[in-house]
Amino acid sequence: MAMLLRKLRDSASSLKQRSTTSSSSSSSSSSRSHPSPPLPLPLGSFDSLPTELLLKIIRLLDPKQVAKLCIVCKSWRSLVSDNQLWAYFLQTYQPLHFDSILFSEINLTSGYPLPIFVNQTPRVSFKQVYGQRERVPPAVIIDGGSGYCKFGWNKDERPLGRTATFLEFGNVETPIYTRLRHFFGTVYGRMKVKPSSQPVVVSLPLCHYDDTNSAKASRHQLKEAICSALFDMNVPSVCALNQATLALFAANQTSGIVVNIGFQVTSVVPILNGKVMRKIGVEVVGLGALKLTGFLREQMQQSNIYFESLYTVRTLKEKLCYVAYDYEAELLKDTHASFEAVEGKFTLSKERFQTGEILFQPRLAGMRAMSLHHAIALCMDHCHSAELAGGSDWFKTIVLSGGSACLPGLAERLEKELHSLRPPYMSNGIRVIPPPHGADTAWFGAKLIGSLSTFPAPWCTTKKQFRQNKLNRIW
Amino acid sequence: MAQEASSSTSSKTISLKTGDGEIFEIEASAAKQMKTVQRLIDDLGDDITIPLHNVFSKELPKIIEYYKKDITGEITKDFEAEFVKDLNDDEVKVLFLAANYLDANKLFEFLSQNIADRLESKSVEYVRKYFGVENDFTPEEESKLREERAWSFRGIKEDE
Repeated sequence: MAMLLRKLRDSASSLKQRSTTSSSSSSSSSSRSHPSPPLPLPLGSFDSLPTELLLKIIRLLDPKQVAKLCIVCKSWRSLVSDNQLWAYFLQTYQPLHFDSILFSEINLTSGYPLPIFVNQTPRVSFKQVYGQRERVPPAVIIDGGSGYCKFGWNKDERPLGRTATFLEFGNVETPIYTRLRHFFGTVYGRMKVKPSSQPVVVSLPLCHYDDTNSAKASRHQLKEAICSALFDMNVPSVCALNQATLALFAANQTSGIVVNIGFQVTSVVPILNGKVMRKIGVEVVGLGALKLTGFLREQMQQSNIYFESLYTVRTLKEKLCYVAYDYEAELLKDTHASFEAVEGKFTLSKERFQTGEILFQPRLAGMRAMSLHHAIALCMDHCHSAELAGGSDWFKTIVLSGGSACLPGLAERLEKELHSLRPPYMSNGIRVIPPPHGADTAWFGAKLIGSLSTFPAPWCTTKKQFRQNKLNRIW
Repeated sequence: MAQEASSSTSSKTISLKTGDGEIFEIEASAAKQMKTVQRLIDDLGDDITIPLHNVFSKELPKIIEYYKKDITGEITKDFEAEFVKDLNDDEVKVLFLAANYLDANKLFEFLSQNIADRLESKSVEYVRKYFGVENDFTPEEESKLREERAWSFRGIKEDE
């Protein structure tokens, strides 16, 4: 990209090779203080101005107006095609973060398989990207799980709404057609829009993880059920992607280990070039948000802190809890803090960090589960032994997702534990990335797909294709 | 705002001679804001009439008016609005190019914004006339460009 910018700058400076003593009004031949090559078609009366200054005025305009300037004449078109100009507009006018746009436009525009760049990143024409992204139609984005579901629009920065699926619909991670119809019908109703009006990007839950034929069949069955429900509602096209993959994309990565702390379980999912590596193995820890809230509830009851609703406990978990870097040391500190909930003011102390601690010491909650850091280290071992073409570092990027993964201090503690669990050749270079968009991380990943300049083409399956059984089986 | 700390040049005036031979006086502190002028002063001394080949008697008084206000710190949004109110597009253009030649940054930034404001929401034909360029696209090329950019025409009411 640097080379392209340099080329553009060089061609632009050859346009400005005129001394400023030439006449300020437009004219064909004017006296020059030094000879210069014959100029291309002039930009008109502002010709004597250096390109950078002209571009300064252009930056003050609305990008829509600047796009129209391409139609003025050929010289103007090449002037306003300046790549840096459109990079500037992308950064300023698009609500998405620029680095996410760059990441997705480079890596995700052609769908699967993802391109692999060995040495250089390809050049991006920001002007094209800007224009094409403007033309992407609206799309519905649904990230549903067994606990909560987030739904909204691809053009928005955050979900329009949320629903507690476990309360309203029961477990939507089962291929029960009527339940799924009811679920999606409700979502579209809340969005006040017809299912047939636009494509939809939907996340597929993480379940039936094994690499066995029966697990594969179960996953397929669930995906079929979800797509059937949607197509029967006349949705024009569907993109269904695994929730872990979406979280990975939201962190601007195409490879890594996704640790998704879900409602009921936590999954440790190795993903290489956007594909879940089931042969390597997905580790599952039977601990999730529900268990964390339950544990906090017990601790509060033991400390005689009275509350009426579990909702209060959940709120306190979100507002006051954190993960200690050093558990034993934290126990000796004064860790009192209060929060004004709907029910009243609550003060917690060691409950604040004991809750998150059960991820590292499940026995504190009376559970015989593997601890989270052990599960991740185990997954890393399997990735390492697999010796895949991705090299030996792809699994050292660990992305956290899920509402409970937003606990402050979790990423730092995990990094510490992983370094102490494995020798340097394994642990050097480990990076634990906290959920980049909080509890909406997977939703954001789906939104990224739904906003691509090439959407919906390479990612979606149409109703016709689905009926003809051309379902994309990579998920 | 406070005046600059008194120096031997703070009350001095500088003579400027335009490309069409007229002479105007400005305060030395105003001249400081026009870097080209200041450079010429540094080279030629402040007793000599500074020649400005590329600025003419039509626009220089306006520029001097602007910087007169600037050195007393009185430039407000109202003043700026009034300053450009009666200027037509050509006059703004000429001022802009002069401000560039004189390296008068503040005026230049202000006029950049004003030109951008004048161009906003204007049709392609208007912009062509404004810059004095010919359309060198074939009708097919132009209609293709318009079609590709349909999104940029959406929701904007064009002024002619």
